[in-house]
Amino acid sequence: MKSFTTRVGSYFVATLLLAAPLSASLAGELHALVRDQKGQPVVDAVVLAMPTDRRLIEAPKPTRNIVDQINKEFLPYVKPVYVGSLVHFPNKDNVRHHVYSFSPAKKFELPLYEGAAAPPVLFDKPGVVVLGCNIHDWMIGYIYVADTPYFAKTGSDGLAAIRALPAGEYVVRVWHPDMEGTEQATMKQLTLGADVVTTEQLLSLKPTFHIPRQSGSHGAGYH
Amino acid sequence: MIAFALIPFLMALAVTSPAQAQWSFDAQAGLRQDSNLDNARADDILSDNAFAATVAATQTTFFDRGDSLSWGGLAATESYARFPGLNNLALGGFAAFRHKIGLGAYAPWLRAGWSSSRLSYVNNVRDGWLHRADFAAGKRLDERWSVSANYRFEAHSATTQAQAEPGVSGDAFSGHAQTLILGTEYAAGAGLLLSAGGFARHGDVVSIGRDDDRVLAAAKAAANDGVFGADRYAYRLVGTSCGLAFGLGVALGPRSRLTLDVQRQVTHAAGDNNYAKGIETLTWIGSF
Repeated sequence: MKSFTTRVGSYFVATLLLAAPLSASLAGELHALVRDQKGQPVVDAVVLAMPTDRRLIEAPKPTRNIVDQINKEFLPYVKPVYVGSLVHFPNKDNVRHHVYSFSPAKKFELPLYEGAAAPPVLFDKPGVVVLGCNIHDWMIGYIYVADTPYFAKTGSDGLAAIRALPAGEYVVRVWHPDMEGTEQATMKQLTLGADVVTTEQLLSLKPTFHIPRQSGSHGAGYH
Repeated sequence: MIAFALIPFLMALAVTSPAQAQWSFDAQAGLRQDSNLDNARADDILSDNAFAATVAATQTTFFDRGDSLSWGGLAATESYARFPGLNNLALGGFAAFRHKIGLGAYAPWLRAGWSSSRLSYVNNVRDGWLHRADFAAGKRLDERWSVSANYRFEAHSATTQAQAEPGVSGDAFSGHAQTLILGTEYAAGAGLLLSAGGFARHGDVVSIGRDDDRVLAAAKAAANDGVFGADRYAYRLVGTSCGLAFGLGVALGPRSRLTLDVQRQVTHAAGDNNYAKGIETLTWIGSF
């Protein structure tokens, strides 16, 4: 896959590599632009940066991770979390939901509940977790359980920014629910310093179709 | 009737279980064209268009594992262009229990349902009760395809009329029938749904025609029918119908859709009273 990287502040990189013990004290940013095969920005892509030196991984500050259920949809559609995170599934609809996942990364079930009655779910294994509702078959959502705390999700402009990255060598990869191929195929080696590094990723998206919200009533209309 | 026995039990279960009921309101309005409204042989065929509308209120209670019990009431009306004697109002109730075999969108399901409606026609010899029991099963195969099978038993008890012919019952508009329906749906797009199905129905049919000794000999009942003309009789015959139906549904928004259904069927009835018909229906459906 054709890709290119623009490095800003590369002047500092060589210095940082020579002074590795100091690198953790310097924080940089990675800005990623994700486009599809038509050149259009890709929303809801998860961009991940894994340091080559795993010692650079710092435990992230605790955050409250939430996947809402609003108007019988999961919001956000894609939620990236760091492995070991708890995720809350508040139901803001006036009907009850029954959230479940069959995914190997996390099999779980939150039987019928309303409001904030469901306990948070621990996502302790990296991977993709597909969410569904046993009552409303069209509801679908994704939790991406990341093996690195350095990740961000693209917005509608296809841009994602990963901040506070310790300087060092990183393998950057991208995941999207509709991507063709594997995350591994998107891997790129980047060197990050104390400044902003930008990268662009090209994803090939396959056409996907979700269960429609409305269905017919076949068999009811025979005269 | 297992379904009749199950409904009170299931309703009691709904009351005692930690489930939550939800109300929904549905409305339908549309036009229907019937190429052989009187179920007649070639010489006596009469067609007509009708406006039909239905409103229904449904309370659905969900249980763990995706099972649900729904029940409610409905009001429906039909208004015919050429034969106003068939204009009618139906008031009724229904209940159904749906069981999901497993978890998730692709789990197969079973449903048992019952409905009863009181029918009131302008031509009141047709007035009566229509009872239906349905047993259905289905499965979503993938995001686009789903299949279902439905067995239906229906019984119509109309007001018994005086004998039009000596020795032949006048209860022409009562009857019962069984129908097996197999159907599939295909979501061609986010708001575009295609459907196809076939059905076989065996039981009583009401065929309208002129005085015919051969048909009369095969009829279970016969009555004068003022709707289609003074020289027409309604014959209740045992018949078997087979048909195909195709549908197209277009979403107009999150709560409404427009459907076009086309149905073709042939019926082989006692007394060699065979006929064919086509029905086209254009319906707006709203859910609130």
